Amino acid sequence: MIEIALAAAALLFFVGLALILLRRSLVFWLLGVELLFNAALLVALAGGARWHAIGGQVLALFIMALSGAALAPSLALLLRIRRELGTLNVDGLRMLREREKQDD
Amino acid sequence: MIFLGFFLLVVLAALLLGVLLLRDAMYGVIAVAAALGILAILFYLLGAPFLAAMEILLYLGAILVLFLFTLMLIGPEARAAAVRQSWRSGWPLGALLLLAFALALAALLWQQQPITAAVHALGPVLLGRALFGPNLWWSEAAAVLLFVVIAAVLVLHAGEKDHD
Repeated sequence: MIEIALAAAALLFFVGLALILLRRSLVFWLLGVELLFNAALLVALAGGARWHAIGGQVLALFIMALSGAALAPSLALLLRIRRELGTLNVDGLRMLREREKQDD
Repeated sequence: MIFLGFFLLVVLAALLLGVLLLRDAMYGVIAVAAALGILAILFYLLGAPFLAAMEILLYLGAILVLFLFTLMLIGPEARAAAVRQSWRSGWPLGALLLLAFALALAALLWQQQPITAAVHALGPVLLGRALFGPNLWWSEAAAVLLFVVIAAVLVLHAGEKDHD
């Protein structure tokens, strides 16, 4: 069972990384980050199950809280990007300063 | 037990492949939700019933619903634009990196000794004692962090209003 959990964690990590590297939409990018968090969670739980320790579950619970805490501002930023730039294209996010009148 | 595990693994792989290939973000979120449901079953089989319940409550009930709300807020035209072009501009390089990463991961998993440890369930009582005993200050720190996140989201939203 623990090996299956580790294989599932590897799968989750791979797909999360693939979503971040390959997909163009920012929504899929954030879904990939969530999958990476879940892979870490699964490894923590597998370690706890292997050594019969409760520490794995404690770590997994903290990872859950952290991923929730990371996601809320990310989604707020996503809405902000949609408003400011009018797109959710990851390739378009190259501007590090405020938009000026130079485009015309 | 082991067959159930393999079955879950296959279903998980199919769902994640769906997430990777689906073009509409709404369907992608639904597929991730199904994959996280499979993960909750896996957590239960790993002897963590409380974490399995938290996965359903927190991820399916809060985080993915937040995603759906966001998709509703960004409106259908942004989603349609994302559907038209779904891959990044430099994707072949990324795919090459991913292939190397997959080979490394497969080699790492392949040469492991089999793990023979039996899985015992560790229930919520033990978890509560660990959380409010030795890890009490970490729990408080997580609570403070979540409070700071609320403030951060409010600041982001206020900045959005000022900009108009």
